[in-house]
Amino acid sequence: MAPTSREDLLVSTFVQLTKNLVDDFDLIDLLTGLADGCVDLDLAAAAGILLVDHEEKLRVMAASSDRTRLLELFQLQNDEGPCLDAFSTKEPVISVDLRADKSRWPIFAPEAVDAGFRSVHAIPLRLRETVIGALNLFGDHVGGMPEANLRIATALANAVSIAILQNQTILQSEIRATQLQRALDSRVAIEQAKGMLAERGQIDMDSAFRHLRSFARNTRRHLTAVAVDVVSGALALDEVQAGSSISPASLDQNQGRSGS
Amino acid sequence: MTDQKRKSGVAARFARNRLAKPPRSLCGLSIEILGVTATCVTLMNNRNSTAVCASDDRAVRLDDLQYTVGEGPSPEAFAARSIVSEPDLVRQSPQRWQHFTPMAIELGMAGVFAFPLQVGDRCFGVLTAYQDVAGPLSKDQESDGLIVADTIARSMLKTRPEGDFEILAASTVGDGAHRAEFHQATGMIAVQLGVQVAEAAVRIRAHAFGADRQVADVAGDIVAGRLRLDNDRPGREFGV
Repeated sequence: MAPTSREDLLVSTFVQLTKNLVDDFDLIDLLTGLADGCVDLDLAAAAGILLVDHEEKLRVMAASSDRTRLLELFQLQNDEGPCLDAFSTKEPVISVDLRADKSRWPIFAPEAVDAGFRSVHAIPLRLRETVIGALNLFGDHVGGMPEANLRIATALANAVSIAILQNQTILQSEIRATQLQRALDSRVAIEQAKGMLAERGQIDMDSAFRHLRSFARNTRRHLTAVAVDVVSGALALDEVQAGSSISPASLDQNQGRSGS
Repeated sequence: MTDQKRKSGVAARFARNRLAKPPRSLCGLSIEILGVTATCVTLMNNRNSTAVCASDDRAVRLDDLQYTVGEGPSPEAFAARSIVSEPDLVRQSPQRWQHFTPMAIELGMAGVFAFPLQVGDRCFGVLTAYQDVAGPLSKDQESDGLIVADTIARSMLKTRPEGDFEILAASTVGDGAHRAEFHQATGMIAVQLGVQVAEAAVRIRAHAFGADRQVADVAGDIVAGRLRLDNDRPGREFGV
């Protein structure tokens, strides 16, 4: 491949990967782009990516070909292989001759050789101490990857790791923002429901709140949920008063509003 | 100073104040960093808002007013997700904020600047800064404002999930009871008039403006049972 076109290819691969960051984030797109990019850049004959899920289990997320996907699944099924080693050690794992490494991976190595591969480079997907998966690069001939290629593959893997972790951070913050915004509505609903009960029963706000709380306890529901239903009209005001354990008499005696 | 340096400087000042949760000093610190007269941090969604902290009572009153009348720089910055600047309230077009501007001026404010609090593409609040002298923010002040808003946003999102009410409890700055009273009054009017709460809130505002009174005072009268709106004539409605 001519140097310029290779450079073009490298640039366009990086552009494609980073495009995913600024536009809509799509994990599968990003990882497939990484696997395909590695093959297009001639870094490997085939590439596969394992990613850890929320239960800390590794899963096959992308592969440049079906036989690679099967080989990745094979690693997971047998709990053995370079990708798993790269993930657990947080360091690159390299086999320059798979046929000579049968003792290292007794199940995986013969399977990979059968699939037509002779070497493998597994690069952890990580940011500092956090490892989220690994990139497997399979070669169809014996021998190590040129240093420059290994550096490119590592750079691509790093860019993708940062993209994924950054996206997770944003997602978590967005969930948190939504929770805060919801809490805002709960508080308003509770005050409004108090006002509605107070007006209907001609009682003061404290008593209205005690009705609301008592009803929520008796029906084993959240105070907020009850308040929201009162405000929306889904729950009748009389039902709340009837369903609370506070007798109207005790309110008349102690809490009743005297008019003005 | 480069933006990056400014950013780490601001972050460090906040960190020194141990922003595990947004304390009231959040606004005091932002005043100091931005060199403005008063600030208010408001948590918002499309329907509601609450002041999380405010540097003084004037900022709280202006925040309350903006919520009850539904206009002003803070809701505007929230909706637009961008900075809203009014460097000279006295000279601005009176149509822009017909209720907010007179009260801001009465409280001694001459300029106002609102910065959205955002995460990703979600906006969940606003940092509003007030100046007692007219004039635009300097370039440095503006970029500091964005950094301070970002730092405040991050600190608000760091609070533990079970800490929602800590943040909301902090909204009782100044006289937070005003806001609660408005919601209670809204519930009462909804029952009195047999309408939805959204309309009840509009009726209360309409009454206040028709009678040239503060919304908070009208709400107080309603809750105390001194005022009913059964006899209010529709037609004087203040914009929904």
